[in-house]
Amino acid sequence: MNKISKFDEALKELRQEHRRIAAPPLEAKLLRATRAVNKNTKRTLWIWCAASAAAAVLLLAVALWISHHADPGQTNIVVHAPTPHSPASQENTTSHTAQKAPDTANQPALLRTGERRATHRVHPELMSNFISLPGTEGLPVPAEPSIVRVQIRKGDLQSYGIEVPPSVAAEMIHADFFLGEDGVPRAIRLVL
Amino acid sequence: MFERLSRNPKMDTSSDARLHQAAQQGSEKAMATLYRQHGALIYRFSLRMCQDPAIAEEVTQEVFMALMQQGERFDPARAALSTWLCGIARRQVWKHLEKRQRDLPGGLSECDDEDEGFEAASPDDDPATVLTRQEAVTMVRRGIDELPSHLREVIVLCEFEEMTYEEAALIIAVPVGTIRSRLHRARLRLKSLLQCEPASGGKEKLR
Repeated sequence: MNKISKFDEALKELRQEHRRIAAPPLEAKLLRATRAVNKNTKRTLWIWCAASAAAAVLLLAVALWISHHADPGQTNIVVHAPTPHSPASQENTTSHTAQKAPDTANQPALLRTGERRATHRVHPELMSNFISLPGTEGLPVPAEPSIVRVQIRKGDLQSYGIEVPPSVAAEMIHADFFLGEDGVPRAIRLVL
Repeated sequence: MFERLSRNPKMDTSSDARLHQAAQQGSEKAMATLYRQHGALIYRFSLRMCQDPAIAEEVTQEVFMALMQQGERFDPARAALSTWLCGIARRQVWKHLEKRQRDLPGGLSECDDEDEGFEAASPDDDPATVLTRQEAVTMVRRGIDELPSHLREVIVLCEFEEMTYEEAALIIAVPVGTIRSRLHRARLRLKSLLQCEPASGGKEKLR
């Protein structure tokens, strides 16, 4: 056998010897490292999520604070009011409420209950009609009513059954409360 | 010169690409599979180059850590995963070799791709002693270990790992012609060893 073929034979045998070399047992180490990398990745992700959530909450708080302290503007508000006509003047209301017999049919609209509320827009230049307050159905007709004018936040009108757009909730508005002698308000009228 | 048939790694690359993607998403199973498929190749190459099992193991670990941490750099369209991993292994191996050679007199042998004027083994030469097969294997093995690093890596990749010239060129980052040239020179050097008589102890020391 000549040298060249001996060389090829030797190379072939060395190739087989080389290919029989096995990899060292590093699998466990690599898996541990993979777990560590995964853990770090998850931790980083959690930190980012928490930071984003905190930033979102902060932005929301700032937005709410700004809207709360924003200047009030002229805006229409939606008012739920009983469909029948209701007393428009203080004198009418006061004189009517002096009646002793609370006849449901003849009661002014502000004292009627169970009627379907209609939604109508109040012109900002006008004074709204008196609107019955929720929960006043069972109250006696006041003998000596009074009207108190206050300035409240428009957003607080929602507790009196009046829908207010969130954009103007922070604005202030004058409102007349129709009170009985017991001090419990029966109706509200908006001064726009 | 001999013709080297081009291997078709397409069958492997698609599964390698899937495994690589899964490993990037944190799949331990995919990482373990990739190690089982390519760990031996990386270790063998590193061992042949460094001739130190401890360093070879360290290099192998570094390569797969790089796969885990910088796997997004691998582009399956450019090369097979085994090629990419070998490229990382080669860089790590050379770092170790340079560090080791700095401590030795003489320094690392410079890569010289010019013709060294080496005479090819002639079939007409008549050795005084007929080498046995085992002696030939031993001499060639020793010869490979004593080859300059830039020639040894070509022998390991092309002869032992049976990679194509193109794959070896990608790993070593040289043109294909350089690979052919280095492989030819390495084979000539190794063949010349078979001219020596092992009993006389006058084997030629390779530079």
